[in-house]
Amino acid sequence: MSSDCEYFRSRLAKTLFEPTDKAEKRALESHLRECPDCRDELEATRRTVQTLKGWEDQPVPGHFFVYQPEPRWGRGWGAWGWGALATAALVLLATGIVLSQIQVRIEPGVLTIGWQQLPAQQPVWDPEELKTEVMELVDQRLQEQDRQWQSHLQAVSDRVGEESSSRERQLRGSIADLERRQAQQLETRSAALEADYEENLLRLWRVLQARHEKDFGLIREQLQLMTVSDEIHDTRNEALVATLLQMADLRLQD
Amino acid sequence: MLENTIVDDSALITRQPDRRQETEWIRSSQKGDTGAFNQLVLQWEGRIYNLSLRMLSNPDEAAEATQEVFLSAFRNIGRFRLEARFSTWLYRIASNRCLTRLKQRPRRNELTIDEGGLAQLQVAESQEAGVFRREQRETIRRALAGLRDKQRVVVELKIFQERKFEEIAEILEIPSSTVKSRFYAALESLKGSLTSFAPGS
Repeated sequence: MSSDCEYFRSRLAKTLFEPTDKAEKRALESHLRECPDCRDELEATRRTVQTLKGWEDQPVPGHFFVYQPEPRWGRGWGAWGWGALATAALVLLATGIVLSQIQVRIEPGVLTIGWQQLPAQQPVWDPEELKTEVMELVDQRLQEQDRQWQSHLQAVSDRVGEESSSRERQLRGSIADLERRQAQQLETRSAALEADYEENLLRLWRVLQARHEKDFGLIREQLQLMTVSDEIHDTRNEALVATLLQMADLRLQD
Repeated sequence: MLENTIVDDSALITRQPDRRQETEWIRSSQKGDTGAFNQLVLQWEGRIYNLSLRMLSNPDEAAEATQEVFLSAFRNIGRFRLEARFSTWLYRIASNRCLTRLKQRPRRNELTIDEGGLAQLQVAESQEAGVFRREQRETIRRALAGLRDKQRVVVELKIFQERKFEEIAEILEIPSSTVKSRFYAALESLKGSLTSFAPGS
């Protein structure tokens, strides 16, 4: 290989891919005319390029469409990442507080969810137990009522007792008072009577005498009328009448 | 003699989607419009999938990588500046994804994965028409597999994606001179492995 060939070989490929100035182009063409080796070399390069270009593009196995942008914070802890983290922490905290306040009770057939404190547990409904319970309650109520009545009556009777004893005392007092006053009266009367005894006795005597006289006079008169009219036939009646007359006479003589 | 040069930038223009339409879709995508972004996916999925396929030599892995490229692009579309070139931006994502995957790949298993992967591609083709292409593709695959990853990605972007050296430099974020040296070195290597296979011969 001549020194010319060496020089041109390094430029052969360039002529296929880069623009060449006219002077260089002329020089190269004149060398190629004289040098078959360099012609072959250029031809080989050209063929190589053509061979490579013979690779036809393959059809795509499917489209490479893009559907969703990736979430921004997935690419690292940027402002978004920290914001999301803080939000998540807050949400967790809030959830924790809420959950700590929620009470759940599970009974057969009943799920109770409540805030803070659950209401008292509902008893299981059993008619027999309920009946017994109701009866006990009624008993208790009745006993309570009895006790109330008892105490009420006790109170009433106590009051009545107190009242009666005070009345009794009152009455006893009154009676004593009355007795005393009567005694006084009697004493006064008796004193008065004693004082007027003689006079009064005479007056009484006279009154009685006058009345007896009148009475016996009437009896005698009546008897005489009866005797006169013969109404008295029976001897026994006659004897009785005679006795009465005698008694009347005797009395009058006293 | 030098008339048949392969400097054919005109061919690129026809493969590019309407620039204004593309800008519209990008703008909507930046507002979170997945529909608009999926229009971009439709425009680009063929190129990105085939880039991944040639880089990784495995259809399943290529599909996975392609999906990752579009997901990454959608996530980062807000950072894309409209005055920049969308292709440059998307190729950068795709190249980096494939290079990362290759770096993570256990070296020894490479060949087995490749052969299994390529066998899947062959199923789709009719036998008579497929023989030549299959043979050609296998030769190319082997030749490409023989390159270093950094060279292969340059060849991919230059030969198959038909990018200019300047854009490739921008995509890979390396100097243009480095791109060129890697490319010509790769081409020299490929020439050695592909001379036995002449199209039409």
